Amino acid sequence: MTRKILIVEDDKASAAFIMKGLREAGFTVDEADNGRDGLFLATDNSYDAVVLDRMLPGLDGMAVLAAIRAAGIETPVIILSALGSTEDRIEGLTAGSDDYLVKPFAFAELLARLQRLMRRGGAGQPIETVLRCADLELDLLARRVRRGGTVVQLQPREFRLLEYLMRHPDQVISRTMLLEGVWDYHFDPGTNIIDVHIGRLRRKIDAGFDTPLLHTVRGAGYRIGREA
Amino acid sequence: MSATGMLRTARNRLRSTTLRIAALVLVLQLLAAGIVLFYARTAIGNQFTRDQQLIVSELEGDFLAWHRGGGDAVLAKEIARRLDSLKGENIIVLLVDGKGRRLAGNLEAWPIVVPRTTAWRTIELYRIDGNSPERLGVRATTLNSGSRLLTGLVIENDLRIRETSERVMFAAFILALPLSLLAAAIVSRLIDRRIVAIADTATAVGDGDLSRRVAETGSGDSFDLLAGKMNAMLARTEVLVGELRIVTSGLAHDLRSPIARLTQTLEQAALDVRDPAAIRAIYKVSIEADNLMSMLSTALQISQAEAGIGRHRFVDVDVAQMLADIAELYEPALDAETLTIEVSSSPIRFRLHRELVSQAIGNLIDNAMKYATGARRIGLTARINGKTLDISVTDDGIGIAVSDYPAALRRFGRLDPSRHTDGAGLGLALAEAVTRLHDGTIALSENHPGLRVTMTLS
Repeated sequence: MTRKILIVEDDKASAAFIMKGLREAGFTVDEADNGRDGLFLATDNSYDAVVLDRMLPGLDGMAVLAAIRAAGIETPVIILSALGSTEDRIEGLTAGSDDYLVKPFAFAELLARLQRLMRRGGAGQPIETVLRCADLELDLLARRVRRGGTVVQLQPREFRLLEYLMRHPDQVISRTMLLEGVWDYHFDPGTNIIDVHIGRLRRKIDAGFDTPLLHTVRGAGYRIGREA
Repeated sequence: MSATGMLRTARNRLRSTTLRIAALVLVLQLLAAGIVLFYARTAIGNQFTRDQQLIVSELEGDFLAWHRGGGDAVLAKEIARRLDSLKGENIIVLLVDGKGRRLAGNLEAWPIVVPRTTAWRTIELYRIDGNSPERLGVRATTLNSGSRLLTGLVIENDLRIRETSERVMFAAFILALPLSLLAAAIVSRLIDRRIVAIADTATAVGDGDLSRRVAETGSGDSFDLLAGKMNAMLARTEVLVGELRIVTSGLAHDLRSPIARLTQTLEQAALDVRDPAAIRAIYKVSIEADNLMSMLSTALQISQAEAGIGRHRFVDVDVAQMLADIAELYEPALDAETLTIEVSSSPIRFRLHRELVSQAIGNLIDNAMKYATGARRIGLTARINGKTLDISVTDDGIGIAVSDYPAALRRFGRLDPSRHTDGAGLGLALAEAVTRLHDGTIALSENHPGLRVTMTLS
């Protein structure tokens, strides 16, 4: 069954860009160009995720979000906003959105976050204590990582970085997602800071093995998985 | 100066003012009590004197009537009769003839100090049979026969009464002193309470809680007037700051949206084109668009920090841990440039905006990486200095000439005139804005060798 996504965005070019990308990724997409229509469609409760622009004519994005949540609809909502400060982001997240993405964003970033949200939506996942990807094994209780039976020594932060990636196998994870999820920072530290961390991690888990598991997705981020 | 420091100084100043007001109240109260008592004392004294004068003049009038009726002889007889019947009373009478010889009365002779005619005079004299001098109020009249009449009254007792009343009044005055002190204390307490309420509101607003207002009592007094005016001012400030937020948000929206479309178009183009030259060009433009975006974000963040937005996100932070986290974030990138980073901090907890301070420190590290040519070591230190926190980022590179410090702190200011090195020149400006958000200051200094940037937070 194809997933249905609702886009509420008044900027025609942005909406077209997102719709095109999501359709290419195999989603069914509906569109609303103002808050009132967006709210009307969202209360239908038939969507797997809502992409909601924060500044909208008619009804402001935050008001739409509040109305959706007040109606008891738990559809994952990702806010798109030109307001990029930490304050605005925290306000957005505490108002009941599941994620917050600052414009401009790479489409891959939006896709990665949407996929993560919808996977999280399919709840009922067992609590895992060992994460696996091919012959890479991360034991959350023993805080130990093995690849092909050999123990890999990781720094605590490298462990958390790998854990975050392995919790989302075969998904593209952007640099900002890593920065938020692993370091709890919401600012751009500049100058390929995350790339260097990934480089170190890659040397530890992939060096000397035929199949690399940690991949760089150009213009989007990173992905852990068997396939290149 | 920190907000609490300002409040403390204000309170001290206030205290001395209230002290002065209290002292004024005390002095005025005592003065009022003194004036009232003095007036009462004088009034009582005057009343006594008037009564005595009245008695004496009536007595004299009586004698004059007798004299008119029968001359000196009749009067002398009458005087003797009166004195006889009024034995023991405090009446003084003396009748002398033209030559000054005594005709009748209970005085030996005409006292030298009393003139021939006087309406009222106070003297001290011995009476006949008297064994101690007495204080007398007397009146003297020359009669038409040439003889003279002196009538008077012993006022010794009256004086005692007057003295007693003075003592009572003094006691009343002494009692007024503690009461005045109490009144002064109450007045200063009342003033203090109202002023402190206003000062507390000002502090809360200064700390970013723009919705705080001074409670108005509705009494319409000057404190209420002040509270009302201040609340009106605060309401206006709140509106202006709100508008500033809307303007910055609007600016962000207006500028970000075209950049968003720009990057989207580039992203799409990158997928569509195959020409390597075009791909390279698109890649370069994308980087510039990203730079533009991060400059805009940082500029907006600076504006927001300078407007005091974010103060309500201050939390108690383990400073050593925060520095260690930042060092850990940057360490691999620094390592790639053969730079080391060292953290030195004692266990410190401090109230600050973790995210913004971390970002500011990150920007300073980034600056050192980009501009501190020849640097091998970057240091992060935190130190509590009284009530303030000093966070320093140091390097051992070529440093900056002291004359260039102001230019380095200027927004978009870069010391490289040709602007070849990339970077928006906002790193230090953001650090400065974040420091100001924490009521602090930022300072550049010589690290021998290299540059030391110190953010003093309070």
